[in-house]
Amino acid sequence: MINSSLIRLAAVGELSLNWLILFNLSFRGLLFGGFISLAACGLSLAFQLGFINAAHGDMAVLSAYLSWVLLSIFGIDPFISLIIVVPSIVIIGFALQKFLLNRFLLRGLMDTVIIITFSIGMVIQNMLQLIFSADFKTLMQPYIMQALSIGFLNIPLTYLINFVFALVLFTVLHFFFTKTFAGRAFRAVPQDSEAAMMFGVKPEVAYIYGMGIMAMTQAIFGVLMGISYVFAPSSGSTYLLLPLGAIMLGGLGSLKRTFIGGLIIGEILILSGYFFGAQYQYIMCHLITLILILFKPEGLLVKRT
Amino acid sequence: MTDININRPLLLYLVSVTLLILMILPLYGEPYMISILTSSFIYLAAAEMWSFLAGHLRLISLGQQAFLGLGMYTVLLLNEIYKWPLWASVVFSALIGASAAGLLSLSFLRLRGFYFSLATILFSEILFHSFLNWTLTGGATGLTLSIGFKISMQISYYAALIVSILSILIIYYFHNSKIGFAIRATGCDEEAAAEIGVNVFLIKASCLIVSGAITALSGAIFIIRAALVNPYSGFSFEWGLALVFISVIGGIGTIIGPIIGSVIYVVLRSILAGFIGLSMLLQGIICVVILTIAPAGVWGLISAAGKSWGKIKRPLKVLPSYVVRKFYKSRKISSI
Repeated sequence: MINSSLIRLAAVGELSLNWLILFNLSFRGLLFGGFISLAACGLSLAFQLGFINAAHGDMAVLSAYLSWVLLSIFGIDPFISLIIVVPSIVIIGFALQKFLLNRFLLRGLMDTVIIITFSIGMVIQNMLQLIFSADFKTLMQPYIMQALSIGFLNIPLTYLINFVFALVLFTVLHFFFTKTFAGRAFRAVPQDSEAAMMFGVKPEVAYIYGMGIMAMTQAIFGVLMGISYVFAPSSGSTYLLLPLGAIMLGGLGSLKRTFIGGLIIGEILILSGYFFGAQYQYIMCHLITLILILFKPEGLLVKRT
Repeated sequence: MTDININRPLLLYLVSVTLLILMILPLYGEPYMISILTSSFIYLAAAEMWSFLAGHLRLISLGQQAFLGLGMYTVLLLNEIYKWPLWASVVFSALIGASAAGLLSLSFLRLRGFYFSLATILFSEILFHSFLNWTLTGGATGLTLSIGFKISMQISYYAALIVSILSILIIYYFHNSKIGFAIRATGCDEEAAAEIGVNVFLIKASCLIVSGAITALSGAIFIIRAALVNPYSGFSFEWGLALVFISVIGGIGTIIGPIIGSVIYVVLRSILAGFIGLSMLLQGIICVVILTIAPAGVWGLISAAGKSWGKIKRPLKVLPSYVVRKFYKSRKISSI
């Protein structure tokens, strides 16, 4: 965790060891936050499109397992397997939206959408459990299990890769959703679908492509999650609820704020793990999210109008 | 709006006969049948509440396992560690469930729609992680209710029966009373309901609190039978999916729907008991298929069939008299 230069500094007495650890950890929390916000990206888009996908985390786990199959049978590197995993998950997302969810979304039956996505999540989870058993699996590769030392900062390589992926994806999607016509069309549909139709936007097509983008971010996130950590069929709910915290902190309707919310959640997770112990990380995080939902649902970063 | 379209004396007769059979059954029935019925009563009590919340108030709770698990752990803690009498701790578990639901109902103050579903999932996950780390309740290994092994099958059967009857009575009252109108108005359009003087928050909160109490009670009865709980079983998503499945397959928002659904669920589970996960996989698939093809569920199909039978039956009934009248008329004309 702490490299030699850091210990030397501490030994000389120039810096107190605790503060160094804290600084190191909070930097790591920031990077971990990038990972959380990558997970929150698809969910935030779903919120913007006006529905929730309760199978959100399970889609990520599904893509991780897909990549694991490619790795263990064909020996394909997880990063290269993204070329296969992302399109297949996107096609699944397209099909799901076109043949199932659109029927209910276009009629405004949000309750049914929640129940259906919840059932789909359970189907994915139990299917994976039947095929791969409930054991933990990982995509970790030897070349990626390294740490970078920059000055007295010590960063695992996976944290950095996740953060860079998140930053790039969020930048691209942010510009797509604010600057291009297609992106604005996505956001117009849930706000006023009739007005959007007048501008030549088909709601059903917008929903299908929106689901495609969500599935893409989930596939990327799933593979990265598999590379950095272990996963099991039941990890889906964690990767639904941590991102939810990011969205609740940031407030709805903006990818930028979701990203910042994710960074805060990462900080909370890492620092509460340091102060209270690893077993209280999730409790802290979920508790903060629940309190936000109960008392300040518009988000911490949004001014009340 | 009630889904029971039979006339009242006939309904009363049917209900009392069914109740009588169910009361006598454990004295003569075989143990397997009693245990199947007991677990379907437990699921029924919780599913009636879920179905009512989802069907009439549009509150989709995906974390009902929070209340069930709270009920189980309350009974365990009070009876096993603090040595309370068993039935007192069962009653107290309802109070715990109600207060947890009261906490969750704070979300209605500012929010509506799918936030509630997310809040329920969050709540159950928080409880899961808390009980995982709480040494008093045995952490991840859980606790055993030693009195659970002494309680006879019949007693737990009657307890489950009482809880499910209580649940059905409450839902029946919610359907057929002045409060029922307020609830349905709230579910249809909150602004309009508030406009005509319905206290929307109070209605939603009280429904959720009642459902939390009954769901915790069914969890408490469950633990008397199962006698063993750990966080993985108590706060499992299996519960949430089970309640969704039971209500969806029977018909969301009806009284009879969950009764049909819980029997189907328990039978399906006991058939697939050897295959872990397969039953949940099938439940999920069946849920999706039913919601797509027949959103009203089995009871919806039955009542639709009844209505169309009525449409067929009416002409059949009218036909003889029509023929007779025509014949009579023609004879009259000919006689003149």
